[in-house]
Amino acid sequence: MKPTAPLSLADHRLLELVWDAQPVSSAQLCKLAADHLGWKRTTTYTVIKRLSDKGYLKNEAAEVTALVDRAEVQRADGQEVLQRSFHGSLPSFLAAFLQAGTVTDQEAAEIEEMLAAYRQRH
Amino acid sequence: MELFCTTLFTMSLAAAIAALGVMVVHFFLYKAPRALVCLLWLVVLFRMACPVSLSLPVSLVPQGVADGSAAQFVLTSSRPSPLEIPPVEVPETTPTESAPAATEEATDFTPPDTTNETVPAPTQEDGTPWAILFAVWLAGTIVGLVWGLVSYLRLRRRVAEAVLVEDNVYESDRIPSPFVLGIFRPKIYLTPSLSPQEKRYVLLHERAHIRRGDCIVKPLAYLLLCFHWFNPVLWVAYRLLCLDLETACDQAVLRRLPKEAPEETAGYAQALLHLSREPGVPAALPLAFGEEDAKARIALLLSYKRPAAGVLATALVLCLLAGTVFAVNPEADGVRVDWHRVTQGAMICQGEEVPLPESLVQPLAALLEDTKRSAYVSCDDPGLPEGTILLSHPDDSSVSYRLFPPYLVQVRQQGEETTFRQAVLNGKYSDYHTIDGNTVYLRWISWYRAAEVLTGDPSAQEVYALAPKGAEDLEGAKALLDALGVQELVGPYTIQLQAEYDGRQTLVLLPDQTPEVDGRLQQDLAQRCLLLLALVPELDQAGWVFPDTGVGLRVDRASLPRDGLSTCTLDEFSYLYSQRHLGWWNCLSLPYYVCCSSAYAGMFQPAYDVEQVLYQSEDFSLHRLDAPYVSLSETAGEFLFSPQFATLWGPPDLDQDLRTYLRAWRSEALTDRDPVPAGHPADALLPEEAVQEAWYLYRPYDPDTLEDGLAEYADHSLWSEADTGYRLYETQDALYLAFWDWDNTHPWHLAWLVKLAPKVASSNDDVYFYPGMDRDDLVNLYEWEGDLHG
Repeated sequence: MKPTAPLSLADHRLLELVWDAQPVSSAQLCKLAADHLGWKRTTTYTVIKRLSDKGYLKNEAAEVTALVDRAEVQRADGQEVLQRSFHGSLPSFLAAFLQAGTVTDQEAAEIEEMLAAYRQRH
Repeated sequence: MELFCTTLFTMSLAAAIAALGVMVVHFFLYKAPRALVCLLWLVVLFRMACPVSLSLPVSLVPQGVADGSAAQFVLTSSRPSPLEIPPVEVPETTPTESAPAATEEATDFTPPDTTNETVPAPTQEDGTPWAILFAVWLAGTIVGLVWGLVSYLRLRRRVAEAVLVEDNVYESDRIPSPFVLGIFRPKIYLTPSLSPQEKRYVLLHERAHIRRGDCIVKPLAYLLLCFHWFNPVLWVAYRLLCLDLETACDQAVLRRLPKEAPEETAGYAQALLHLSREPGVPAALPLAFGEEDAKARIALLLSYKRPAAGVLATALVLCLLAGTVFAVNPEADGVRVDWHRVTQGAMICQGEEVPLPESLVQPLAALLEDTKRSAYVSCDDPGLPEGTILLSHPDDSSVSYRLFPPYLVQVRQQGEETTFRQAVLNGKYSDYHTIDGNTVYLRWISWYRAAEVLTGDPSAQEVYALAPKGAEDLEGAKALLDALGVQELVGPYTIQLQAEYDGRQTLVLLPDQTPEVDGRLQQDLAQRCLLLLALVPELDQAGWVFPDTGVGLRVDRASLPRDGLSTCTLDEFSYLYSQRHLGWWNCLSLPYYVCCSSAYAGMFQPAYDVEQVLYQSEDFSLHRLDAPYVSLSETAGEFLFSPQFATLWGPPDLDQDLRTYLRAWRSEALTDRDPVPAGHPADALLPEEAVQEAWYLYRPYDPDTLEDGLAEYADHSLWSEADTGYRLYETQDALYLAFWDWDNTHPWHLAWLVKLAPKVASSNDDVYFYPGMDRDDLVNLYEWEGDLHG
């Protein structure tokens, strides 16, 4: 089942923790959340439950695993931003950064590499 | 509960005044660092929270507010009004008003409506305003507190999932704008979409809030505001406080930014603008970055310049000053007697001090608080009339109070010196007070209870039971009079029933020996005669005659309340009974009738001792008389003397006689004249249209020899057979002199009436009457016309 419900900031951050640490016991996850996010146990459990309901997490036998991987979520997020603010146009999206001059040389190099690899594949 | 309400109200008033003051100072400190103004707001908070303060002379808080009297006034004026009691004994009139007729005065003696108890109980109004006020206040407070708490908790829930960024900074996508939340461990909550610059500014701002302690101040202010929810001024002040807190923080941020970097200021302003929104979060607790009026803050920001040291110093001084004058209370003027601390009260009964029950002391002491200090004027020792209540302060023995309504006298003893200051009580308070929710009619209940209980006199009920069975029941009458203590007053006596020529029945007391006569004796006797009359409806008059001097007085039934009281209920009797201990100032309302032996035919004799008292007490302007019958002169000051002559003390056809005479003598119809001033009831004997002024002359009237005259007049040995009682009536164009005569067969009849013309000038300077003056003198002194009748 592909989850489609939107993710809040809290959801995102917990997912990040899960991706980095999975499979992780819920108790351990709580500790991680307390350290990194400053959450109480109850908060963590609430978010776990919510993500489980939305289909992003699986919480079985006190063990938490993610049902979607990072790349999928990132893609979904990206699509959302693209649709919302750039009418689905990727170039406009990039242009927003390029024009503002906020892309570093290193980032520019990375992008070029990615584009080159992409062209090769297609 | 009353104390709580009034104290709270006082605090609120003081806080409101301080708040208004701060708002004014606001204006002057516009350019100064806002942090200073925030300090001033702390003063307001202090006043909201703290019922007491230092007393210093520099306070700007009005005395009336600080000592609670304003609160008392506002809150207690919403009391339910008690039963209507018309003013009794010493009604309030001004001398310029026409004096009401004595019949009116008699009817003013209406006792209060009562229930069927012996002690007339006032109607109770349960659920006094205090309880209602308190309940309403509590409800409002709870609503405010609950709302604040609920919104705080909801916000807490909302940011539960905020993610930690660093230290105590969190980020949440569920909040509309950044804020700081929490009192003891405040946490800053950011929105995710902040640019690094914005983030920096926001953090600086919110951290400034934390540093400055705003996280405690704002919730505290809200809490206090809940308690003072009824005060609109404080709501406005709260809003201003919030704005000032934000502005002060803005300024704190700017101070931390590098100097001479206008782009920083602009950047900050931009951040503010970008993040400003209507307060979507409740106003109590979070200090939201963009919450308050962004425009105003931006304007202030952009115009902010670090003030020069001089300006700063001035502003600081101004703030300190403003803070002080509103934080402290004014010094109490003179000795304040906290009403709830006056615990010692006594009453003068028959010359002795009798301790008062405490339940009476409290409300009586409250009268002291109600009397404005400015109403006190110096006076001489007025003595201690019977029924005076003495109140003393347990802590300050140099001050005591004497209360004989409507007068309150403050007695101060400093070393050898004793000063007396007198105030006339607000009539409202001299009539009644509230004890534990019951309306108590101080003016007579306290007297009644205190006198009755404390002196051990028989109760009203006991005396009432002794009512004689009729006018002929002389034994019963004697028993009643004995119970009333007549024997103690005049010694052994007999009583006699006399029938007047017109069929009126008079009961006369005949003491075996003439007692020491003073005004008090006469009024005590008169009062007892009145009580006798109340219980014996068949009697028309009661009086006494002393054997040696032949002097006596009569009391007519008409001076009883309610037009003569043909039947007297126990309640009405109780009321009258309670009057018998009243002091000298009340004697003026007692009727006096002259009943002389043939040796002193026809002499009007007011109780001369009353005159003496009046004469001596020049400070006492007795404007409270119902019927200012005599104005001794316009120049002699404020002597207003009012002997009460009831309407029916002469033969019933007297009225007719006089009117006939007058009508016969006047050529014009007596129609378009001024009405009789509401004065002496005997004025009714004259045609209303005719009389403008009635002078009752029974003493020489030369202002220069007034003193001598009075003294002379007081000396009974100067009275002669030829002395007659005369009254002068003035109409628009004539003066009439009426001579009343009295003898055994024709008590009090109009002997003759003289019309005098031309009209004497309205000032009394030209008119001379003296004891011993007779017809011939009169004729020689004045032109007259018409026939002398007689």
